[in-house]
Amino acid sequence: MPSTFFGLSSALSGLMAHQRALDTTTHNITNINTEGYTRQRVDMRAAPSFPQPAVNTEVAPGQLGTGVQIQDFARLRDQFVDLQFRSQTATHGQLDARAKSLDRLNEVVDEPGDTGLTNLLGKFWSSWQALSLNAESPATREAVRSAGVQLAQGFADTRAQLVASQDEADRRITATVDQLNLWAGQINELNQAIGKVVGVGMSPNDLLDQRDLLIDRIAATGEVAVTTPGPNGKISLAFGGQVLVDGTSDTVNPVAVTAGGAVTVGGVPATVATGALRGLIDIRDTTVGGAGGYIAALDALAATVVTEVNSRHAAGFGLDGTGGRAFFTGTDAATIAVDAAVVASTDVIAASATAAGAPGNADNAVALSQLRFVALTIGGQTSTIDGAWSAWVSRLGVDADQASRLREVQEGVLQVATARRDAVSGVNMDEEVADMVRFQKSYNAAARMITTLDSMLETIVSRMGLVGR
Amino acid sequence: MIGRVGSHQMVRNFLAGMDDNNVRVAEVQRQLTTGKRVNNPADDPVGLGLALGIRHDLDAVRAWSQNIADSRSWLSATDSALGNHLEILQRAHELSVQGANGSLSAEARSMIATEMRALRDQVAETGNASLGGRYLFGGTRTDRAPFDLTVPGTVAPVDTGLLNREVGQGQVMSVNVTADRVLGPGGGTPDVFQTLTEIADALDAGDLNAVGRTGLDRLDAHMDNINSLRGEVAAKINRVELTSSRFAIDDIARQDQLAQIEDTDMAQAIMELRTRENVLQASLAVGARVIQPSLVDFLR
Repeated sequence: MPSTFFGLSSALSGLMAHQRALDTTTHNITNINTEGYTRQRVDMRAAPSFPQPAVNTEVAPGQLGTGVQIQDFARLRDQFVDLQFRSQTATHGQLDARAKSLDRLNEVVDEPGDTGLTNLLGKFWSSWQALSLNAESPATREAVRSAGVQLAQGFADTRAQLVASQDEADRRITATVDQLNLWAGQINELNQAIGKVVGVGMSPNDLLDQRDLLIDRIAATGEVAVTTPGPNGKISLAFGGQVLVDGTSDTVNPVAVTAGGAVTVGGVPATVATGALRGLIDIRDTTVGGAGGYIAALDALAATVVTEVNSRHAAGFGLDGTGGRAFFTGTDAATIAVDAAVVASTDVIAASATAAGAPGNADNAVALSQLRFVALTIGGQTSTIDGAWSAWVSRLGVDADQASRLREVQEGVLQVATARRDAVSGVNMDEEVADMVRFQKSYNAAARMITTLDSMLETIVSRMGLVGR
Repeated sequence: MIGRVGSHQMVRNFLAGMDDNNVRVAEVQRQLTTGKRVNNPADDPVGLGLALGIRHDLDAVRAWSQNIADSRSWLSATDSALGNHLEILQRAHELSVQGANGSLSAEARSMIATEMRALRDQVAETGNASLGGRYLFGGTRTDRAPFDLTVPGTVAPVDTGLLNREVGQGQVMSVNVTADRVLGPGGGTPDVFQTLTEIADALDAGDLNAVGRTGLDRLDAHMDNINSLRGEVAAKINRVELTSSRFAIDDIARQDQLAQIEDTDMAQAIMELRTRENVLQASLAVGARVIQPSLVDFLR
């Protein structure tokens, strides 16, 4: 037979449970703008019924409910959606890093434009044409020299821009690695904090959110793999196939990128095929730098300009009757410059094809201007000098266009993955407010129950036993 | 299909859509403000490759056109100098015919001889014609007068170098006539100075046969020579004029091609801008509806 006051404790459990439910709703609403927050839900269940079977249990029609109990503060998260999101964010990170760098280069080559190499090459060839009309004129000679200086400067400027983008990629690699190691350290700390909470049987929902957010961020820089949480709630995190955060020994193996572009985790070579780190390393060591990169192709072109112009220039003679001299010096786009002798005197410019005493002879100037149409082998491809440059520009254009298109596509894919995750974990204001109303009503109802019980007790305590008074 | 939508998801979707629309409007605006469809290589990599090739051709064509313009003025100057030369020879021819007349007095013949010598000096003067400070007949020694006025004759050594320039791809053309060719047809005919001197001397000596027969024959040979040189120059002028008009057409055609690749089609771009602006405004209007109301707004 339950106590007279039995109902009071049942109603109290209702009050308390709904109080917690309202608290959780508040928590959800207040964290609607918190990045990485996962909505929480109070899972309630009926409290154990009374009485429990025992030897001297009285015979009753059945068990009596004792109210409500909070079973769990559930964290609504889908691990599979997380996996999808992380793999998509890695691809997005890679494409984004690539597209950003290429976009910048795309803007600085100034093609089509007045300071682009197409224009400078055109001016250079045309200056030799003008020289062929008036080989003895200091004015036309000066025009050739200044066109040469501008062309050399154009090569040097373009190369400097490429090197700058390479440097930028390098700095961003360093910054990314530093950030990554910082996050790994934070995950390690969170792991330990989570272990302590789980150890006393509670669910550290908000710490788990923070840990997942950090894992998401690391996932954007490279491929990650997360082990299923152990009984103590700790996870181990692998980066590029190597252990980054060890959940059993609570240690972190720092990530490093070598100058050659190899990624190591705790000194062990890792395979990072995607993520921002991959994108940046590719830009630095393959797309812009490296044997087949933009810089190498530009250097090959500049070297061809130097050797071909010089070999034709050396075949002719200057106004002073001396031949065999160079017009350009240097071996690549960084070092190409007009020869000091030409800078000192335009008489050195070899317009003439005969030794001396023929100032009007412009046969060599004609031959040099014809170099414009000569197919040469530049960087393993047969093309004219101008053709090699437009191929270079087209290649950059195609790369940049492709990178931004792929990024756009990936943004869409990532959006879908985000939406899927949001569908499970995101806070919906309407839903929360509806819950709030629901919980408030229940709370009020439980309070009303207590009032009712109170008036019942009032009847017993104050009004009973007054018969015959 | 997503069964449940987080409040933020709607905002995120709206923001992503609006960002896209903004970028698309900015893209057309850039095309309109620059007048260029291709502003950097990524805008149209293939088109840009073509455009750079066309620019390259256009550049070459313009350089050749420049060469042609310069060549034409050089050739015209040469033609008019040769014309003067021919007039002098014609005058010498007339004088020789007069001088060969046996009825002339010795004084009259001597006067003719004097004029003949003056014509000889004039030949040297026309032979030293120059254009922009460069001697037309000096070969590649454009800085030295090819004929000596003090001792009429050519300045030794005669420079026979050609002034070559390109007037089309791989088409190298010389524009100058050198002094040695102006001097005479060669072969058995003595040079123009010697011919005139000999006629003048024969007039003084009264050797009418030398004046009327040998002299006239030689003058005829010289005039034929100059005429053929003028023919050669005229043929070259003709050639460069033809090429020049072809280049003018090429230039327009190439600019047209370039414009088609690089330039914005204004009408199309403006239509596009209107469309994209409408889409942007629609997305903003939708955003205003999506973001605003939640259950909070309806509960009291």
